[in-house]
Amino acid sequence: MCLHGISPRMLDHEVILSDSLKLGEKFFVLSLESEKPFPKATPGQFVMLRASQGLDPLLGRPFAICGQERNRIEVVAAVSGRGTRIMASLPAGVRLSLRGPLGNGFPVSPGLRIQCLAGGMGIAPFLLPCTASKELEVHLGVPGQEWKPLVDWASRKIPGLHVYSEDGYLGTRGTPLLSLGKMDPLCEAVWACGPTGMLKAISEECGERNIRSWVSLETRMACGMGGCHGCVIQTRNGPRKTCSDGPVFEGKEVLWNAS
Amino acid sequence: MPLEKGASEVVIGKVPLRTPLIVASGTWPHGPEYWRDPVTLGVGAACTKALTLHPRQGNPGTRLWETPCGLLNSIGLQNQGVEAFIADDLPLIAAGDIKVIANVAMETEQETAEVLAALSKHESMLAAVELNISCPNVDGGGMAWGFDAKHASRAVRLCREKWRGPLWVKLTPQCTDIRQVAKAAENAGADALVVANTWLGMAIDTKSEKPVFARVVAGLSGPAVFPLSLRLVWEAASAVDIPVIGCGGVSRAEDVIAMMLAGATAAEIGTIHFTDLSCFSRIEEGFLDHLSTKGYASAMDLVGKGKNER
Repeated sequence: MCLHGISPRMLDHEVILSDSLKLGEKFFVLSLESEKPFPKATPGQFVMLRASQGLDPLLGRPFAICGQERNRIEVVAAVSGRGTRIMASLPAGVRLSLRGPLGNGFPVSPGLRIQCLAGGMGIAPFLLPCTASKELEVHLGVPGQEWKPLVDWASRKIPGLHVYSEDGYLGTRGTPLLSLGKMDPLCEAVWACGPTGMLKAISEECGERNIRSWVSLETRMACGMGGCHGCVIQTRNGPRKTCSDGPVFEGKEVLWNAS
Repeated sequence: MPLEKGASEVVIGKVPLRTPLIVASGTWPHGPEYWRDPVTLGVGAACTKALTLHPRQGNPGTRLWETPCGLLNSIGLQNQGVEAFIADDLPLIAAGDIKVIANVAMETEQETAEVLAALSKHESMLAAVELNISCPNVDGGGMAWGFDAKHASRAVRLCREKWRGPLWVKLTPQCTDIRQVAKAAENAGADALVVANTWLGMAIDTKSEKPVFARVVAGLSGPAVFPLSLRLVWEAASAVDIPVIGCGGVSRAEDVIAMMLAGATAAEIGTIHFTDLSCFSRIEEGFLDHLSTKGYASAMDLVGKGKNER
C-alpha cells in the first residue's frame, strides 16, 4: 500500500495557494499551505490537486511534489489542458483540495550515488531531494527554446544541472540519454522521470549496461489511492496501479510494449 | 426537531444499515485501513470490486476520461478472482466497521454459480451479494444479462438458487424498459435492486482523431448522470415492492434525499468519493439536517415520500 502508516482520513487537506509563480507563458509553480504539517514526502511521491470547489473539473490532477516544508508543498507544472490552465490562472489566497503525499517514491538510500534523468516536466521529483543531497547528478532534457523559463528556474534550484535540448538552443544538443555513455563508474543507479518513450529508452539502455534503473510513470488518475484501477500499467508482476503501487517502478519490471 | 441516535438507519429487506449511504462497487481500495472508522464515518456499507471466478487483467489502453461533471471509465472488471479475494481481502475487510457487500459480475452461468458457491462458505462475513447484470451474456449472444426481462430473470433465478443470503441485483441503464427488468428481477427472487450502473458513452480524442478507449465505449458516472439515474429509480421503485437502492451521480445530501423521495431506501456513492474522502460524513450531516428540519424521526420515513404526495 502507499499509505506508509498514515490514516486515509489524513490524506485530504484543504490548502491555501500562498504563492503562484509564473515561469513564462507555459509553466507555473504553486506553493500550497495547510494548517497541519504534511507527512514527509520522498522524491517521486505526488499529490492530487483539485482547484474547483464545484463539480467541473470534477477530478483532481496528479502532480509530483517538487518542494516541501512542514506545512507547505510545492508543485511545478506546464499548462497542458483545461485543469492545468485553470490552476495556472488562480490568484494567491484561493483554497484548493490536496490529497497526499501519495504513492511510492524513488528508493532513497543514504550514500547511494544516483544519476537522475529528466524529460521536460519530469524534472519535478528531482527538485525535492536535490537541495538536500550531493549524491545526485541531474540531467534535464527539453524540446527547445520555449522551455527556457523552466530550465532557468530549475538551474537555480539544482546547481550543476546538466541541460540538453533537441534543437541545441539550451545546453547540449541531444537528450539526457547521452549522459549514460559518460556515466560515473561509481554511480549505482539511474532514476528517471519524463515521457514514456524516454523512460522506455532509458530502461532498455540501463538494462544493456547492467545498471539498475527506476522510472516514475505518469497516467490518468481518478482517486490517486488505489480505488478506481484507472491508472493500471502492465508489468512482469501483473497489472499494477501507478498511484499506489508506483508511480516509481524498477525499469525492468515494466512491460513497455503492453498498452 | 432534535433527532434521536440512529435516525440515519435504514433497512434493506433484512439488512439494517447505520446510514443509507453505500460505497459503490469499484471505487474503494480493498486495503483494510479503508474499511475502519473514522475513514468510514457516514458509510452504511461498502461494495467490493466486481468479483469474477478467475482473475481478470482488465482492459488495455486508456481507462479514464473526464467529462463535464462526469467520468468515463473502461476498467474491465479487473480483479484478483474470488478465491484470492476470499483468502487475502475478505477476512480483513469484514473485521472493519462497515458491512461488506460482495459485488459479483454475472459471467457464464457455470462461472457465476462457482463464485457464489465460494462466497456461500463465508456468508457470515457478507451482508449481501450485489449481482452485476450489466456484463455480457457470452453464452447468449453477448447482450448484457440485464438488457431485457427474460435474460435478467434467468440470471437472477440462477443466483437465487446458489446464494441463500440477501441478494441485491444491480440493473443496467442499457435495458429495454427498467420497469419490466426490475419486475422480472423481483419475481426471480431478488431481495433488493440497485438502480443502476454506469451509462454507456464514448469519447474521441481530437488530437489523435481516434476513440479514446480500446473498446470504444465506456461507462459514464458522476454528477452529470444524476437526473438520468433519478428517473430510473422513480420508475423502478414504482414497479416493484422490494427495496430499491439508487446509484448514479449522487454527490450531495440533496441527491440522496431526492433518491429516497423517488422511492429508494438507500443510495450508492462512487465517483464523488474519488475527490473527497469526507463526502460520506458530509452527506450524512446534510441528510440529518433535512430529517430534522422536516420533522422526520427516521430516514425510513422519507422513502417514496415524493410519490405519496403527488
